[in-house]
Amino acid sequence: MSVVPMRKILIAGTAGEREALLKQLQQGRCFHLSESPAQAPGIPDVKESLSRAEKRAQLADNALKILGEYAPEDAGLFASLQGGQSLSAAGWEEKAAGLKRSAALAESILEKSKQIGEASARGARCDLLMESLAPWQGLDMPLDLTETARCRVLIGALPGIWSEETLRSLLSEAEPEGNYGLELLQGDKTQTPLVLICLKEKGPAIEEALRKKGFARPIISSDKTPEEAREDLAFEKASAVAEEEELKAAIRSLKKERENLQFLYDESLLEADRLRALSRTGEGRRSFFMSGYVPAARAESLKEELERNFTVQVELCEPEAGEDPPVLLKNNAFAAPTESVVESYGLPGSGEVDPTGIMAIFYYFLFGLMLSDAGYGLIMVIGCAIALKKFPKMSQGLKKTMTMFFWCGVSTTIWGFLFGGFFGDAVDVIAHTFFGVAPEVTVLKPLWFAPLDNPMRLLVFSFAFGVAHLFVGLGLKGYQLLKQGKVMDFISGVLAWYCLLIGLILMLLPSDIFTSIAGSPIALPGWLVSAGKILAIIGALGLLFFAAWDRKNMGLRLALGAYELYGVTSWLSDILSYSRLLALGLATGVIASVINAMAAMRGKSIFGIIIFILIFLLGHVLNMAINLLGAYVHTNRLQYVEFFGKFYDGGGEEYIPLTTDNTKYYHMEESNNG
Amino acid sequence: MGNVLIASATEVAETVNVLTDQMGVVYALIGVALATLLAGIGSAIGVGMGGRAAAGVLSEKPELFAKVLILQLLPGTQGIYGLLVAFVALGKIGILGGTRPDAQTGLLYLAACLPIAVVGLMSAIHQGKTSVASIGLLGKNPKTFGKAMLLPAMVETYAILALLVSILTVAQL
Repeated sequence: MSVVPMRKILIAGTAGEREALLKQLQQGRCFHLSESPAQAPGIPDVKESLSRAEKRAQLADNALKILGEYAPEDAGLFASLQGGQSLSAAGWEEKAAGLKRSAALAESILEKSKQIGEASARGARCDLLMESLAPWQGLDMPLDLTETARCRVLIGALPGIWSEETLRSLLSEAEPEGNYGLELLQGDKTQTPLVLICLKEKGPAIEEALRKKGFARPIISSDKTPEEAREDLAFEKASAVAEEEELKAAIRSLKKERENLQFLYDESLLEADRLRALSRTGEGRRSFFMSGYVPAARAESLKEELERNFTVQVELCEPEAGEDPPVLLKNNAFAAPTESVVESYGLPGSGEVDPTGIMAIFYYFLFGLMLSDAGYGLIMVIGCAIALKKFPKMSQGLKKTMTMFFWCGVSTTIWGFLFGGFFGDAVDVIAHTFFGVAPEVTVLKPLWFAPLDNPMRLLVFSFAFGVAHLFVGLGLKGYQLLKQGKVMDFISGVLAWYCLLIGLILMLLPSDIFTSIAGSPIALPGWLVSAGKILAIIGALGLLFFAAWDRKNMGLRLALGAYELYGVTSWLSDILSYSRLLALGLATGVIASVINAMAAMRGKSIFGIIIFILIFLLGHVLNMAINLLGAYVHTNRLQYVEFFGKFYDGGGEEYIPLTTDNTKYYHMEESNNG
Repeated sequence: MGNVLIASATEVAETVNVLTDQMGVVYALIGVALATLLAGIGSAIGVGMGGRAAAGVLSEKPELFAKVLILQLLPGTQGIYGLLVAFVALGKIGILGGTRPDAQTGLLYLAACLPIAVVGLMSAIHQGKTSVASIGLLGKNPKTFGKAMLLPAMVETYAILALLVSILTVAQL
């Protein structure tokens, strides 16, 4: 459990080599570039190259998405665990030679996808037109015919349903003799299509009469008969569909290029990273300068490598006081997985210790206590172990999470057996229901005690665990203060609290309130109780007079001391907060028992067994999921709010080296010289 | 006349006795129903709010699905706590086990169920609102998951306290 010591590194070199040098730094994966204090005027072409690299990554990503749509990758359920394909640095360079071709390919895929969109829109348009032609099928003249040598031709539709009779009576006013030809076509509820032919001079009057009733010409116009127009459209549609299929097949045929596109994406990302770093270096006309941090262990070898390969000046020095180097945590295999928990709260700032090691122990302990079911614990242990073994190349973050849940699972299993929970009371229910064991007999006995039989006992233990957790937190605060040489702060801020709290606990233990909670009186020897009283008084006075010992004004000093003493209420609420250990532990066990009871309702029969298995599986999956979530959230909360609240602020800057690990598909192996 | 009156008075007394005896389980069941109903309604509202916010974020960033789902589910626990108290009570009042309580004990069960019922309802709704805000935060900055998760979890503390009081009382009755 420690913060990795960092050394400051200053690099000055010739401008011509800066890109190659950055590449090497990137492959070295240990150089954290700091913002140069005097921002350089900026190299004009960097911004442009950067946006080009970003665009290229976007292009590759889009092309991959399109490829994935038409030629789905036969990825298994666990594809995300598989991790990237490994390439050596030399193999990477070799593959990078084909980048131009890959980029052109990606563009052609995008172009084809665009054409597919166009063809499909064309097909849809044909469909729409054919639909609007439907009422006019059977008409044997072109739709846009309006007149012949002597006649007026009216083609169109009236809204609503019309019969020939009603129509003729409508027209009797305009043309009483009835000298016109009228044909009604097959309509529907909304409109009645019709064709009317009359002498030219009668035309306007008849048209006017029809218009009053909402007569409208067809939306679609064509110099062909509807039948012919429909055939043309059908042909156009067929050709659009064929073109679409052809384009899709062309894209599908490119699926073996997927790897190249993935490489294009990764390389573009790395290049963008390099260029972003470049834009933050100081730049003269012929030289450049950058500063950053390197883990002390790697510093000398990096300096030597750079000086061997480039014309550069490299200086190493210790970070000055007041300077906050970026923070990298280093922990053993047991604690390292919980680093991400610390990271998401905040990395240790200046003068703070890395709390990961101690937190990890409590993390696993509390998580197990809250989930406390051996069955669920074993599923976590086995599931994570298989995943870790089968997919060794999964990403670092995922590996850490898996390992964390592996240890949480171990703890959950242990607590489960201590409390007698294995899928709730599944062992007993199965024994009673299917194997005829007498209901009074408990098959799986808890190694310690069953929480539901004696919840008060577990409540007391929850508080005890809480006190232990918080005391360790206070101890860490003391350690930090001593390390910084603040002895007076240690005495007034830590030692006084220990005295007061231990004294109060000693006084509380034999009291009636505690007896009623614990169920049985706890007898302490009289001298211990008196000692407790004395300790509490010393502690309280210490806080009152010395919490603000550095203030000259006595009144202010006492007021601040009283305020510090008032903090005892926050200790009370912090300790009460650990009652969630009991509540969540009970939740898992009781709901699991309910599921088992429901599952066993049909009794001992074939049908009963089938029902049992179904309800058992479904119920426990749900219960496990919801309680895993609860245990995870509330373990984090206890660490962040109660534990960290005692000693930890976490304002450190994250160590982000220039690295080749930010890729999605490929993984560059660490080379010996880089 | 007097005899009839005396006889009917004893009968009435008996009926009252029988009634009060049977009312015990009714009171207790009202408590059970309230714990399930109110806490469940609260969680449904809370998770519903979270779900709507989550859908919005997912339309832009589908890769956040797992994280957003966790935030959406946070207000769902109150319903489970209500169910928990309800089941422990059902196991003691002669429905799924135990013996039928008399009227007074029945009322005690009813009272014991109230904390998780009322606090469950209110805290789930407020936790839902906090979840919505956290989902928005996550959508803007996916790196803040740890903090985004913690904010709604703070609200849940009070549901847990209510659950403790309810379940400890029900278990000890």
